[in-house]
Amino acid sequence: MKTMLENLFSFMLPEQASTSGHYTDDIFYVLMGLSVISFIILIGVIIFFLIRYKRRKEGEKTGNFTESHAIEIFWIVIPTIVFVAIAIWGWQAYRVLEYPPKDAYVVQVTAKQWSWEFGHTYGDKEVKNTADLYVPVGRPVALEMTSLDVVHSFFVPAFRIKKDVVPGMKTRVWFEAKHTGDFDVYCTEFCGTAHSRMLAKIHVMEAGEFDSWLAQQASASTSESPAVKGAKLYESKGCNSCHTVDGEDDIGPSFKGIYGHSVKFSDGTSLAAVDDVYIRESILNPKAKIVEGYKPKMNSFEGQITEEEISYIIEYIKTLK
Amino acid sequence: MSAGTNYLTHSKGLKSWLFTLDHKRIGLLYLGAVATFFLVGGFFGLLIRLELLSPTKIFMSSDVYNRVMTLHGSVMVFMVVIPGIPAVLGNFFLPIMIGAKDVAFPRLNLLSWYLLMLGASIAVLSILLGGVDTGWTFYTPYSMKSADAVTTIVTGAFIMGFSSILTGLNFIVTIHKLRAPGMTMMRMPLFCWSLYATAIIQIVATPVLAITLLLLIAERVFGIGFFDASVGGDPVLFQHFFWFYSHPAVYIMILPSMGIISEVICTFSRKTIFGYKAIALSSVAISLIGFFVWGHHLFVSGQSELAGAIFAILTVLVGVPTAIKLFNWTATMYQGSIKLDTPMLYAMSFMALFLIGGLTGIFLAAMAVDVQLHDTYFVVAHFHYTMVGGVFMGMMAGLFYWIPKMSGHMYNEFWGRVSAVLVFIGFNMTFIPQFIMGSRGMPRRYHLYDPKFASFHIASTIGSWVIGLGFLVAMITIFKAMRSGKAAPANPWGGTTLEWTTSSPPIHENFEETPVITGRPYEYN
Repeated sequence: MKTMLENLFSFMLPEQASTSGHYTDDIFYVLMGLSVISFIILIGVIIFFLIRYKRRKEGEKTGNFTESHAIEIFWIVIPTIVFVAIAIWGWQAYRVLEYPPKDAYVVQVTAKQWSWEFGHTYGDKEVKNTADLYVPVGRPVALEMTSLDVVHSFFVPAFRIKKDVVPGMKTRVWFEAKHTGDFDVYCTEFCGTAHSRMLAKIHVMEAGEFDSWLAQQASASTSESPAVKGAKLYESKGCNSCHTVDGEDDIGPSFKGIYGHSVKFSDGTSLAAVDDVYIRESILNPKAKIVEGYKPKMNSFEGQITEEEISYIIEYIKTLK
Repeated sequence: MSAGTNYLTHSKGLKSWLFTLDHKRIGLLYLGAVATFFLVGGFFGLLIRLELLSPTKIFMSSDVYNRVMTLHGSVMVFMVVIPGIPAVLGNFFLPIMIGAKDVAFPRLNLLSWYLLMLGASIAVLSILLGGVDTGWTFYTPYSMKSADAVTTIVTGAFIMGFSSILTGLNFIVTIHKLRAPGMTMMRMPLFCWSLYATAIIQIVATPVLAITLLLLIAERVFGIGFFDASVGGDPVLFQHFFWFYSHPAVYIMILPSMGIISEVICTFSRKTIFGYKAIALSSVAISLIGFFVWGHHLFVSGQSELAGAIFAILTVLVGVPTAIKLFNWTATMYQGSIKLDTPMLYAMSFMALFLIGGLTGIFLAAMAVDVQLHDTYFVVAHFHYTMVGGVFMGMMAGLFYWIPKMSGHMYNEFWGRVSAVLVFIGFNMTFIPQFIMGSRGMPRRYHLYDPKFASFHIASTIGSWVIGLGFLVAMITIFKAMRSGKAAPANPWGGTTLEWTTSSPPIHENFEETPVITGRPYEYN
């Protein structure tokens, strides 16, 4: 029965890759089955009546079956029982999705317009700033989430999880991936201009692979050049949501070729050559100077970026000739 | 009154319309306004679909897309489906159907129309001020940080709310005080019962919206901090306030439509309604239970699990009176004499589409399933099945049903049926793909999207053109019947309610003599 429903309606749902996802899918498939059956019965009866009782001549006599308490009580009681049972089933499954196991691996998630930041703890070090979320397979992962600006929502279709990410509040969601692979993350609470670009990927890795990834991140790969680090920050801090590096216009000006070149501002002033000071100001106080033709869309990164990181980004921008 | 005049010829000139106190003329003023808003809202809807033909940008930037999306929603909700049936058809027919000369407060009635127009003008002004990109829900704190025009559009919605409150008040007093001799509550046509239930919600819930919007304006203008977490407010509080109105509001929209379906099915089946009491009281039940389900919009918003569970159970309970209505309408057709004219075609369209809307509502009430479906295209499809499949199909059924009475002309039956079939086909083409892509993970309010959803979006966009064509045919057919066409007899459908005892169009006073009612409605044999 269950597999039959699944075979019939699996086109309705995406790949399912979390250990708790089947709770959702089971209810979904049963509801699809019940819905299709009720639809066919009710619409079938209506179509039958339309044909059987088609008006043949004006003023013909009609039946006077207009009241039956037995029938009405029947179709009050049956839907009530079925509906309440479904609500309770949905609630019970929700309880599983709501409370993470105690031994879950915890990741801190910070949302801002329009990027996700994921924070891991490794010993006494914090590994932050990955635009993509790396997690081990076969281990419960709990996300503790908050937002720096407006309400966002963290949605992973393949894991059947979604939770709003609210400023001033910690919300929580958890999953345990069944197998390795890459899975889409969408923001599903409308958050402004680049809402539809507030995406991320979850990379589910083998446990060993994950441990070495984390260790490598924590040991702060000092060998990388500042510009390479800057290039990574460009993605992980979400600069790429609004600024291209290929000269193409977007929500903000492209980074390509700006360093050392003149720029005009919307208040009529201009700057002879873009320099470190200007870039630093644009990150920490972006609304101070708006390039002509653009809108003041960017929020300050004050407190979310270190001076060192700013210097890496500047080095990266210098390389974009 | 000179012999031979009707309410249309009773007095002449623009002034006689703009200062009219006749509920029938005010109904037509509303019809003109709502039809215009519908064209605007529909145009924005088609623009959205056109832009979504491709996963990448076609002709709108994200900022423009978000504004168009907000306009489509706000115009359709606040200016079309909320005032739609009660203000147009309710105004015109409620007094006639209970045997009254007018509503209880004709001046208040005219004021309501002006308030709607004032609110709508202010809301439209927000477009000129740069537009609003918050979605019609104005969620904080985004609506605090977003464009300045938010204050303007919210002020518009605030004023339109009063139009709704006053209309509700007017209808309740009219029903209680102005029924003709012998017209007991249990002899009222079901359309009147549905307007009564609607009016309760309009009076009780709309002030909550007014207060919420006022708090929002205060927050924006003075930075008070009700909803802004950065100064100690609570963003989720706004969502509770907002849905405390906006969920009952969907019953403001759907209940009058259900009332029309009761009238149309009885008349075109020549059958007494099956279970009059159950249908009448289920309207009231829906309006009362409907007040306690708002939290189902917040299953993933960070409300407690217990709150979620309570709201989930109350939500499915509101489905019970809805199911009763569907069953009773079906039973009404049993042993009837059914004629599939345009109003009945639209009513059947309602049955099929609203059933889908209701069934998918059960999916969304099952909390775990809602987690997957919330804020995806599944929800978009679900509420279009209830709001278009439910409200609009009922509204179209009602317009075609009553246009001969309102104008004194029959509409063109062929084109009426064509419109019903086109809208039905186009509607399913547009929104069935949205159910599938939604449950597969396509989030709503996305300007750009993953190319894997492209085929669903393309099908949906093509469907939207068919709906557009269908509604265009319907509007032209109705518009022509307003002005010309075969003269309509007093009772073209063989209806049994009071409006069919007056001439088409009715005289200024509705009835030559106050009717006396001796039995229940819908006695055909």
